Amino acid sequence: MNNILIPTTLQKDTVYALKTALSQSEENSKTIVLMLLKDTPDTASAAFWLRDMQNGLTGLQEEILEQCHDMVSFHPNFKLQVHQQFSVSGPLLRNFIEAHNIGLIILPDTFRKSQLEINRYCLKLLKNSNVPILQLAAEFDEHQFSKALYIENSDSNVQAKDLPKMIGGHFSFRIISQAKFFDDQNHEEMTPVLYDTIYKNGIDLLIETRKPQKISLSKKHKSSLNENFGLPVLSVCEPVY
Amino acid sequence: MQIRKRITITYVTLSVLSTLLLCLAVLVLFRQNNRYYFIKRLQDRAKIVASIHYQNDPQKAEYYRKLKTEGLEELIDENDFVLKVNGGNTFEYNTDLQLPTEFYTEVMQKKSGWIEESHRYYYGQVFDESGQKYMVIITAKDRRGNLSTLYIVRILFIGGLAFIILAYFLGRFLARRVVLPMSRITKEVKRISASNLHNRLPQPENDDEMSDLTSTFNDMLDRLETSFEIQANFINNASHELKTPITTIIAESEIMLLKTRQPEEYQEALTNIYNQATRLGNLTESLLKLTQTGYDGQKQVKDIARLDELLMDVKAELDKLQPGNRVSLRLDDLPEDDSLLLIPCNKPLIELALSNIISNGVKYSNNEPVFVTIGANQKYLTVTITDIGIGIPAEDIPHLYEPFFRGKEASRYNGYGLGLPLAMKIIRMHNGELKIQSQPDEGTIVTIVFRKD
Repeated sequence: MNNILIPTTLQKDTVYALKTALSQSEENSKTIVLMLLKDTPDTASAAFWLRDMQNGLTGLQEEILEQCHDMVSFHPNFKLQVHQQFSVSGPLLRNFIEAHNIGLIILPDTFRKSQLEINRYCLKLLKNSNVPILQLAAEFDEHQFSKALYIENSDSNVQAKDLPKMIGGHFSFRIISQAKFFDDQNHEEMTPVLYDTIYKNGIDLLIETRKPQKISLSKKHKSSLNENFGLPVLSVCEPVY
Repeated sequence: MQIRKRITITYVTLSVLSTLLLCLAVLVLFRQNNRYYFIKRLQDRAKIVASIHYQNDPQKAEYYRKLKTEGLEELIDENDFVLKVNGGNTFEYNTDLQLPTEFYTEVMQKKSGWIEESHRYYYGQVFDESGQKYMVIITAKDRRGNLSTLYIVRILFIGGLAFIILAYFLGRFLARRVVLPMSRITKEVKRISASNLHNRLPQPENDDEMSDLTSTFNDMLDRLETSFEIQANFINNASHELKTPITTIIAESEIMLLKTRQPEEYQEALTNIYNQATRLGNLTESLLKLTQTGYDGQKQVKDIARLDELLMDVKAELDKLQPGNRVSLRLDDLPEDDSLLLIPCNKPLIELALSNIISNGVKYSNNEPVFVTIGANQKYLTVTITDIGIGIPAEDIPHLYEPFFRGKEASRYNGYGLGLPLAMKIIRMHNGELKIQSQPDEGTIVTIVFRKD
């Protein structure tokens, strides 16, 4: 479980995501999978499908892809694989993660905010997987994390000391603070305290836990409260006992 | 309505309901059983009648009649009819019998059948006598059956009534037993007021809901007492704890001002002063937060620190203030898994607590060696501080956590009696416990145990 998946729209922040992936320890060889998602046109015949299917890349995307290849070429233990995925489903993604031995998903901000239906659906499916997800922030160029703040959900069973094992040794940060949210009201009261802690302790990563949720395709992107701090959020799936 | 009454009423209602159901079941089964045996008797008579009819012998008929009256149990209003069956569905009808057609049809089809009409039973059976079929109908009244049913209804009614009365008293007894621990807790709680907040409810030995309630109540009292005392003693605590960094800053500045020095020395001194001032700031903020929130743990962002690092920081700080101290940190017994040493805490406060306890060890042992050891497992984190000092007399131990308390021996040393009470409260806030074992003139062992949730 040591390969890394980066679902991408090949915008500029894919480079940051790749940098973060490359900053991982190079002890074992790893594969970084860039996954591009494409909607499949609703067609009646194969010929029609081939005519309607557009799988070309824009100039900017080509450029970013080239840059990614260049970056990986400096790291002999890393391999870059570009995967074009036409339409996606829960079992398909689960098998994909299993087959590629994915141990970490890095989400660039543009992918997270993408309005394309397939990207939004894929995002929800990914959040239901049990692989740790690192969501990068919009203004982000740091790719080494050293100090983390663990934001504990009220009904969570995960303790700070268990987190490093659950993340599977992908990062070398240290959890130095921990806050617990009891309810929404408490959330509002806690926000200034959290800002204060982030500033004072030099926190550069937030850690939260998530539970699988029912998938609904609402247009509105419901951002998690922890994403509002402008810091990367590492989301770990809570184990089911 | 009082819980006691509610429990009694519920118990009585449930008992009445279950008794009623039981009575009904007994009654129905009893009646069925009665009927079964009565019909069985009719069946025997039918066989005898059929046999007499078949043999057509007046002597034997007389013998059977005698047997019936003397040998068999008497039936009331007994009567028998033998109807000759002519064909598939026709038979000779007897006008004395005014029975519904369904009965005859049933008997013809199933070869036997019975019917009850106003306590009178009719039993019919078809017999085959050398090719000729006869339908024998026996009828009698089951007066004894009715009588015994009445008798059993009476028993059930009286028994049921007696049981309800018994259930009422049992219900009251049960309610009293259930409510008793609660009443005890209420009585104990009434004794606790602002003036004796340190009192706790005695913890029951068993592991039931009442024990949970007691421990929850005691935890609440812990928190109440802590915030109450911290608020009341804020100025004392603040003055006590802020004294040390201020002394360091003053001393550092005085030394620097004695003569002109090299820029590096100034830089070093300023760094020291800056560090102490930062510590002062953090401490003030933590104490203020503690006073504001009463530290209920909800609005706090906790620091995740390693206990060994905390102790090393405390030791480094102590080395600066008392360079000749003989505190030795024994870290050779640390667990292999580092994560066991992690503790969610308020770092400035827990450092303050540990520092207070260790410096007490140094102070009251006249600078004899003080050993600090750490133990960690999945459930607990422990710090043991052992000194070879003046010890604490047994009579002083219960008062150690009262602010401004000074023991007889301890009054020879400088101090205000504020450090240990505050340390204890801070440790309690961190889900910990402070245990003190001491022997006068031999030494003291302070064990701090932090429970992991």
